[in-house]
Amino acid sequence: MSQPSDRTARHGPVPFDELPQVRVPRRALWLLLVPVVLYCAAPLLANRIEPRILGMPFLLAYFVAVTVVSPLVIWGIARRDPAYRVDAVEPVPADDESDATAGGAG
Amino acid sequence: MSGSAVVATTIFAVAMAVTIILGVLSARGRDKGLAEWSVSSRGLGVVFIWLLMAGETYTSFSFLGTAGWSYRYGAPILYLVAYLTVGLSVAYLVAPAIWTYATRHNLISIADMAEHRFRSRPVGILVVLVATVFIIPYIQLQIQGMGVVVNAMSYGAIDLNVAAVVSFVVAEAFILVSGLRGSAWVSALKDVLVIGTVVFLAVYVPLHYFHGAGQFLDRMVAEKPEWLTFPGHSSGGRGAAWFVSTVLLNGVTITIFPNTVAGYFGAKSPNALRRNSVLLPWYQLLLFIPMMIGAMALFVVPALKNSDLALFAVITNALPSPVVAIIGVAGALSAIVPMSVFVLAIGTLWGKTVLGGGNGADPRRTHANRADDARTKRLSQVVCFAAGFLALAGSLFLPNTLVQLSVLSYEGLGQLVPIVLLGLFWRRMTEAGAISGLAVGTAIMLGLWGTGHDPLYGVSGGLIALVVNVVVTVAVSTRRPADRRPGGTLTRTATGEAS
Repeated sequence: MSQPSDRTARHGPVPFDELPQVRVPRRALWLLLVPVVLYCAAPLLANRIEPRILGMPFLLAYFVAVTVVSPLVIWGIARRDPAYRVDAVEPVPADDESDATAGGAG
Repeated sequence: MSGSAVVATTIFAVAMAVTIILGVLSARGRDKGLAEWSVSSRGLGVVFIWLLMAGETYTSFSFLGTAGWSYRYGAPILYLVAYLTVGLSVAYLVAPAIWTYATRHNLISIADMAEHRFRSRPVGILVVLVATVFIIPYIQLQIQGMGVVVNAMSYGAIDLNVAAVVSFVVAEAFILVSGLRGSAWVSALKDVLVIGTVVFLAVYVPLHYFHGAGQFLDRMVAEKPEWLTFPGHSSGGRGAAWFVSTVLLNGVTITIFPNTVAGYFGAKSPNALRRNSVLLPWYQLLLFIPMMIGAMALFVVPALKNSDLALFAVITNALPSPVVAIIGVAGALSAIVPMSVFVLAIGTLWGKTVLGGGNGADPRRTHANRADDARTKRLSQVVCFAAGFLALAGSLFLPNTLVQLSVLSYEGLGQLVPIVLLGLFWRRMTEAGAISGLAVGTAIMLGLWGTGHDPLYGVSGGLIALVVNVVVTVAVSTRRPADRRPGGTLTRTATGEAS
């Protein structure tokens, strides 16, 4: 089922059927939880004024830092994501019918 | 009318005219069909997706409300930056999934998707109703936000109600003609103005009122330390539990907001959306500026009655009228762009799923009275106009009642997460499970809110309701599994699960 094509440049909308499908594990996607964990930890781990960083109270500095780190993490995920590399459609389990017996979607 | 007011009013009038022209012209030479109007023929690349998403995510209330919360509570406002970024992280997976499902089956709204996924028009209609109830107040909030901005930027010369009518006319003018593409183009204008003015304010305001940001921060630490950590200054218990639960709920829910999803549908490929998750979080850095200005207002205008005016109180005191007017235009467009996508989303929800006879996925319905694309587009446009009109009427005649509902938008739309998202990722979810989960979740959410138990022990009532919603959905779906398979063919083998 997986036939990653290595099309690179394209102009205008691509016909849906021509988009590649990727059916390999995408473990990097777990890292999408990194921004979630970093932000949710803020009131527990960073809830203080000192030490101040560049004049900013620590809590504010922590939020600024996480806000800068998060897109970098997501960028790193994209680089390691086989679906991103070939602009593949997202595997949608609800659409898995014929090959559902293989049972390994997502 | 004072000289400043004349200048500001003139600039505002010109800007609104430019907005309409830009929005209307954006559709020139394009196809006139439903797919072009509702989803820009799925032809937007990464740049336009970024502009559109930035344009509709950062509303007038993101700026006014951010400064206002910062002034009133302090640290709890950081939840906004947190959930918007978390939402984009979630969207890296969710946005291409929604896009893929909708594009594969030619669907144009979350209700359209739900109807197709569960082969059930009632589920689709239920989604429309819930979405509408929680979005109309949100549109009204935009109209009123616009009123506040325009009134402040014109030094009181432009009446709140006049501003409300103007926002309605401008937004409807280009959205009815150009659809989603119009919003994307106006977003471009808006984003340029917003980024420009916010960066300018970041430099200018601290220098004008303080000797730079360093001195301001020193004064905050020395005089207002309560504002700098959770739970903030008399914030009504917005501590760690509230923060975490609200960030989780809103972060997931924003990915299925009908207007966000309308933006997804415009993308020309999945990677336009994945890239957006890499690029759009940078925009969050801009939100620290209104936070800072809101906190500065603590020193500049210490006794402000309406904290939402904190931003403009600081600005109008510090800057000449043409600059104030341009900032006001940025603020006005920050109301108009999201509003236009909201009414578009409501239009497509009703136009196809409710009025247009659905998408034909439900085998229990005859397909004879289904509307064709041209008629669906016309119906959508009518609803698109009516929804805006309803919100306008609300803001003119019931300015307070409905807006109270808008604080429930995330909690209410959050209850659609299982139907829209879980259904895509979990094949065994059934129609009965979907409906039961939504019913129980919405009832709990409204119950907690109505009885004053939201937040419950500091935890967002919406998240509690969503957890129960998911549990019920899973329990009902596994107890009465359907024989039929979701997706694929339209034939239905099970008959024992009439809704």
